[in-house]
Amino acid sequence: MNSSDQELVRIRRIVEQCVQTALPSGEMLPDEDRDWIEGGALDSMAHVEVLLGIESAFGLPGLFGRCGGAPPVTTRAAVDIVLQALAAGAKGDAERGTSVELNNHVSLRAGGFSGWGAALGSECVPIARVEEEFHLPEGTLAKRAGIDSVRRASREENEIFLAKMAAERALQMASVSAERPDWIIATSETFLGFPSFSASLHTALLASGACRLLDVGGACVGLLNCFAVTKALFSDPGVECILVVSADVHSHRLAGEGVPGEFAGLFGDGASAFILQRSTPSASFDAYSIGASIGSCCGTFSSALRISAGANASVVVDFDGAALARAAADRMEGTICDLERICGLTRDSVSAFVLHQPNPRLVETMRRRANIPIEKIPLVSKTCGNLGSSTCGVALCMAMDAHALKPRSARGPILLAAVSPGMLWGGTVLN
Amino acid sequence: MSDGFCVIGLERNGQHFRSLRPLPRRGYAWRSFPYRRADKVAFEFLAAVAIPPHTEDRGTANDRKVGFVSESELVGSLRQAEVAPSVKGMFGCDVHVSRRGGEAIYVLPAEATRSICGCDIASIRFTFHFYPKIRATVVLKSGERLESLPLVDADWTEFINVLAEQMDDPVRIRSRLDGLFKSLVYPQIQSSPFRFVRIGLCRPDREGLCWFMLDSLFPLPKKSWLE
Repeated sequence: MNSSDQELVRIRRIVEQCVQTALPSGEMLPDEDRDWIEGGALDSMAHVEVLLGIESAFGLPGLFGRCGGAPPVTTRAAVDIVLQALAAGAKGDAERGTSVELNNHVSLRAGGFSGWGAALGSECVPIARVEEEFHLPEGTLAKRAGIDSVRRASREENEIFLAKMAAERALQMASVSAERPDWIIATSETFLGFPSFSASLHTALLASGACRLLDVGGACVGLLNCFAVTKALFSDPGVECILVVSADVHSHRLAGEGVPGEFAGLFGDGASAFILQRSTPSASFDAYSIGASIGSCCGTFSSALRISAGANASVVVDFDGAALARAAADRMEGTICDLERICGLTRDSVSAFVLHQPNPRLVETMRRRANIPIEKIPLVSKTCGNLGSSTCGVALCMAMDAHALKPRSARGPILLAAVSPGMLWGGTVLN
Repeated sequence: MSDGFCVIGLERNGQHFRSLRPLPRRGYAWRSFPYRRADKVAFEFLAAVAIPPHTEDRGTANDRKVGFVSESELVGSLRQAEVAPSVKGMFGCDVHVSRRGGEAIYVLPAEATRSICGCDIASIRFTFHFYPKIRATVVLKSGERLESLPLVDADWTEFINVLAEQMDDPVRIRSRLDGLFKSLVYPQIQSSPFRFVRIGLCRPDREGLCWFMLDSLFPLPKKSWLE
């Protein structure tokens, strides 16, 4: 089989996977020339959804809209259009706000992860004490959310303190001085005010005067947003080293009266940091690098969690826990499926699933639904609480500790998936 | 969604209104319906045939027109019927997003308590990407978005199809419709005194899912917008 045949097979497989998502369980795929609609495989609603799925899987948003004539209604027609588009080097127009890198079509070489580190609030608070503090019935957080303890920053610790600690660990591991990074990309869902988080961290680390700074939003998706930015920045040949940092201190921010105890009690404090370098001549291991990255916003569920500033610097939280949990679980599972399809991965081949963890119960629900072995999910929220943007960061550090030093042949990719208020979502694969 | 018109009307219910869906003798869609939107039509109701969530279904006979109302009166009446300010209140149940690739929304029939609901919107955008299938995204006043709603509003569909028929280059129909709406139609919708939609649930599909549809959009389209 030559390479063009292989490409055809790959494209047909992905198109068929997209069609399969709309078929009732156990139903056979229609023949490649059989009309999906006239043959009864898809109705009008499913037809459009399948076409959107194909566009998304190939990173070609708007593809079928740019073709003359009616949208394709057979597998062969869809495969032909995709094949022609890829052959012509068609690029997605980012109409849907997604950015997808095709498997085997890597155009940019992202930097590799050469150092990483995490830092947690120094106080470990048993969950029974948290329930007591928030006047919650016994077992509210322990049994319903499955949390054993949360990590809290002491009075002297804040986002900068924890971020600095995590960053120094990452720098030390990478054998890189604080003056080396060309960029500091920072995210925090709890740091408010100016100088900004990245600027404060730049000062605290005594980073170089030539180092540029960027504060990235996204709350629990913040770290994944940072990685998307990082990957893009490496397209600049002048960029050699980037420090990505997250830090969240919820205990100071959510202590007010406007925050329900069953919400505030879920959170802990922590930070994570990662050094990515384009070339790592001194590294004794084959570094992970940033591969495919997807994400967008599903505004249908934007009312499930709203957080706003109230009077006297208070925080007002309005949340529907059940709706939020269900939407989050659905979206995270969808993200994993999308990444598998886009990258041609199978769940079995993934070494670790770094998932955002609102609470351990939700992680367990997602794990069962997605059929992921428990040992492949570095669990943070059970002993630390929800660390916001740093949940994925701390979990990724655990995954890196377990897999990054292995030879490439003995490990698989790491898959990250997260959701945050909005409902923002993101997914990233580290190869 | 079979070919034909899905008709829905309002019946006075005390100080308010409630929706009723008169059904033809066979099936759910009228092959031809001799009345227009905003007509007042009298029906004789036959035995109830409603299967949840389409609790508004009614068998009917002996229909006749008895008058009509203006568009603003109609919207006023619709606002006194089933309405919700946010997604959660629309059908009294949880909503789910498609896992097929797009972001269309569905509910489970056993969970929904009705199949039609009105809502004020902040804005709307049509997608002609898969024309002749037309999709819409609406942003509710609550800030929530409903994505990939199939447009089944007969007036709006006709308006768009007539426009498309006048375009001589079939390859560029989608982009030209896009351009026309951006320059001429959306400004009219945004400046309208009312921006109101009725969201309906389609009949359960082969997997038993009821998908959201854009049943009605007000303001109704006007030819004068294009002049």
